[in-house]
Amino acid sequence: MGLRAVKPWIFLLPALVIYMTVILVPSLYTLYLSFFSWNGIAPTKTFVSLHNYIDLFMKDTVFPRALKNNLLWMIGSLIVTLGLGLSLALLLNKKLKGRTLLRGIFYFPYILSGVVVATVWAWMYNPTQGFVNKVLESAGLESWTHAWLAEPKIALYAVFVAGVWQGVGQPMVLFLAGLSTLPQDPYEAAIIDGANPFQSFWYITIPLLQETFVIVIATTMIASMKVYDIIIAMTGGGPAESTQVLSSWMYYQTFKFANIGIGSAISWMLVFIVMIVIVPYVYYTTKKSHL
Amino acid sequence: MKKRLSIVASILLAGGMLAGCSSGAGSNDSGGAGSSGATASGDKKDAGQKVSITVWSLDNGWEWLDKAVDDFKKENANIDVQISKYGTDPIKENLKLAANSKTLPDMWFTWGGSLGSFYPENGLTQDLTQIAKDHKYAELYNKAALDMSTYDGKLSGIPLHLNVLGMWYPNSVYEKANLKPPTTFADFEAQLQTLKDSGVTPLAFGSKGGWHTMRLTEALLEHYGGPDLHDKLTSLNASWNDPAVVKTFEKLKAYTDKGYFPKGYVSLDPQEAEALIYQQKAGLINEGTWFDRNLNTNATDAKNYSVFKFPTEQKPARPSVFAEMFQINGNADKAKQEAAVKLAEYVTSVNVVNKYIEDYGSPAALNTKISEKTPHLKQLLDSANDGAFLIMDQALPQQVIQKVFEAQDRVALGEWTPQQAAQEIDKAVTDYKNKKK
Repeated sequence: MGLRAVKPWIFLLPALVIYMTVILVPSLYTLYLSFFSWNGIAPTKTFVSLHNYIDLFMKDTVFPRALKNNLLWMIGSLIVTLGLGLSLALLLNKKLKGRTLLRGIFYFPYILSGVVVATVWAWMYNPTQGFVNKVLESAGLESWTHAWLAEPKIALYAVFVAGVWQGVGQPMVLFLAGLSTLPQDPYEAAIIDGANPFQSFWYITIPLLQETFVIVIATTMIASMKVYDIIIAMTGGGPAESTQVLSSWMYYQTFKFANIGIGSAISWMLVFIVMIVIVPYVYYTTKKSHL
Repeated sequence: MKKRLSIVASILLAGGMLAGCSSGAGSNDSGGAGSSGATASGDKKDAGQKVSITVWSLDNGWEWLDKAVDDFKKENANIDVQISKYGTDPIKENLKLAANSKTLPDMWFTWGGSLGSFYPENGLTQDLTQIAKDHKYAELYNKAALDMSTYDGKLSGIPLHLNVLGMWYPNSVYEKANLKPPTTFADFEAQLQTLKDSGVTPLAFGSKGGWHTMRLTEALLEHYGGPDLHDKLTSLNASWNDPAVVKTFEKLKAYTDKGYFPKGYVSLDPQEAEALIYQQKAGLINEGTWFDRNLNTNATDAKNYSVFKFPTEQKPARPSVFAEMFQINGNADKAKQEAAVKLAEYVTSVNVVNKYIEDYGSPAALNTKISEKTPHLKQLLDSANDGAFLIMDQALPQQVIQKVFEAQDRVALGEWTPQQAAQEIDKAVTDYKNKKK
C-alpha cells in the first residue's frame, strides 16, 4: 500500500478516533445495556434478553404515546416548519428593503436555548394571565381561549407551535443558501417559453433544490426524533403524560426511575425508527439526483 | 454511488448519537458536573495540606449557605468548598446522573425517603452511624429528622431541615370572606365554596411535575383512609385498589369540576400557583415550614398570612413531614469525607442556625431560636408533636409516585374514573414489586 493510499486515513484518524470514542462505543454499550435489568449502580446486571423491548410495547402505557407524539412532531415539522422555512427563504431571497435584518429576525429564535423559548411560551400560554388568551379576549374571541398546556388534546400542538417558532430559522437559512446557488439561465428560458412564476417554482426551483431538500428533510426528521428540552421545560411530559416523547420518556426511565435497561432500549428504538425512515429516504433521493 | 454511501454513513453516525445519549457510562454531560467544576474523584489536593470539597445544594432561598460556608472557610483555612446550586427537580435528576456516571460531589443535599435512599442503597454514601454516636447527634438533632435520614439501621445523612406542611392562607382573603380556620373536614369543604363565591381561587395548586397537587391528595387520603391504612399504602403493604383511594380521587375530581383549582392547573407550574397566593388571588395553598421565608422574599410579609393543620379528623391528626439532609460521598477519600462531615455538622449547628435563622428554614437541630420573621415555624413544628406521615413522593418508590401523578391528571381531565385511578396505581405497585423480586 503506497503513501497515496495511506494518506487519507492519516488525516481521517483523529476524527475517526473521536467518533469511535464518543459515538460508536457508547452507542454499542447502550445496545448491550438494553438487554439487561440494571439500576446503573448495582455491581450486577440481570440479563433479560429482549424483555425490555417487549415490555415497552406490551406493558408500558406511556411508550406508545411517546412514539406517536414523536411521529406527529416529525410529520408536523416536515409540513409546517419546512414549509414555512421554504416560504420565508423564497420571500427573503427577493430584493427587499431590510431583508438582511428580516433574515436575522427570523433566524434569531433558533440560536436561543430551548429552555428560554419554553419559559417565554409557557407564560404566553398561561390560562389567566398569558398573552395568547389576552389577545383572543381583546379580539372578542373568548370562546377560542384555552388552558393551552393543560388540555391533553391540544397540549402537544401548543408546544409544537413554540417549536416551530424556534426552529423555522434553520431550514430558512439552508434554503436561502440553496437558492443563492441556483443558475439564472433556466428561469430566463422559462420566461421565454411563457412559464408563470408558479410553474418556474414547481418545475425549476424545486428540482434544482433537490440536494438542499435531502439535507433539510433529513436534519428535520432527526431533530424531530430528538425533541426534548422544550417538552420538558414547558410541560414536563404532562398533563397525564400526554406530551411525553421518546427522549423525555427515555430520560425518565433512565435517570428518574433508574431503569437503565429500559432507557437504553428506548434510545435504540429511537435509532431504529430514525434509520427505517431516513436511510431509505436519503438513499432513494440521492440515487435519484445522481442518475 | 460513493457519494450516496457517504451521505447514508453520515446519517448513520447522526443516528448513533441518539443512542449514545442514554448510556450510564456514555457521553452524557451530567450537567451538574459541568457546572460544579471538580468532582469527588477528579480533584487534586496538596498532599496532606489543603482539602477541596464539592457541595451541591438547592438554589432558591439558600443564600444563607454561601455566607455560612464563608464563615466555615475562615475557621478552616485548610478546607476549600465549591458549591453548586440547583432547582428542586434539577437536583434530583442531576444527582441520579452523577451517581450513574460516578461523578457525585463530595457532599450533597437531598431529601429523605425514596429520594434519598437510592444513594445508601447503592453504597454511594458514607455510613455516619458511628460518627453520630461519637459526636452525640441524638443530643443535637431532632429524632424524627435522624430517623428519616436512616436506612437499614445506618445513618446516611446529616439532618438539615425537618419540614412540616400545613394549609396557608392570606389573612385578608379569609377576613374578606369572613372565615376562620376550619376545624372539621366539612368546614374545610364549605370554605372552599365560600372562597370561590368571594371571587378568589380556593386552592392554589400547580400539577406540573405532580408533587404540588400530591400534597392535597395525601391529605385527602389521610382523611379517608386514616393513619393505619395510609402508612400501609405508602409502604406498599396494602392494596391501592381501596375505597379510601377511590374517595380521594373522587374528591379531587369534584374540586376540579367545581373550579376550586386555578384554570389549567394540571399543567401549571407550582411557582405560578404560589404567585396567586402572593397576589392574594387565591385562598389556600399547602406549603411547609419554609413558606415564611418565601412570603418574606416575595415582597409580602409572612405576618399577613396564617396556617392551619389540614382537618383530617383522624386521631392522631397527622401533618405531612419530610427531612432534608446532607449526604457524604462514600467513595471520596478519607480527608474529603472528614472535611465534608465537618462542614455538614457546621452548617447544621445551633450557632449557624441561630445566626441565619431568618433565612434558614425549619432546622433539624435542637434548641434553636425562633425568628420573628418566621412566625409560623413553631406552630407547624408543634403540629407534628402527636405524629406525622412521610410525604408521599418520598414514601413511595419513584415509579409508583409517577403513576399517582398521572392518576391525578387523568382523573382531573376525566380520562380515568377514580376507580380506574386506584386500579392503575395498584397495578404499578404490583409491577414494581414483581421487578424487585
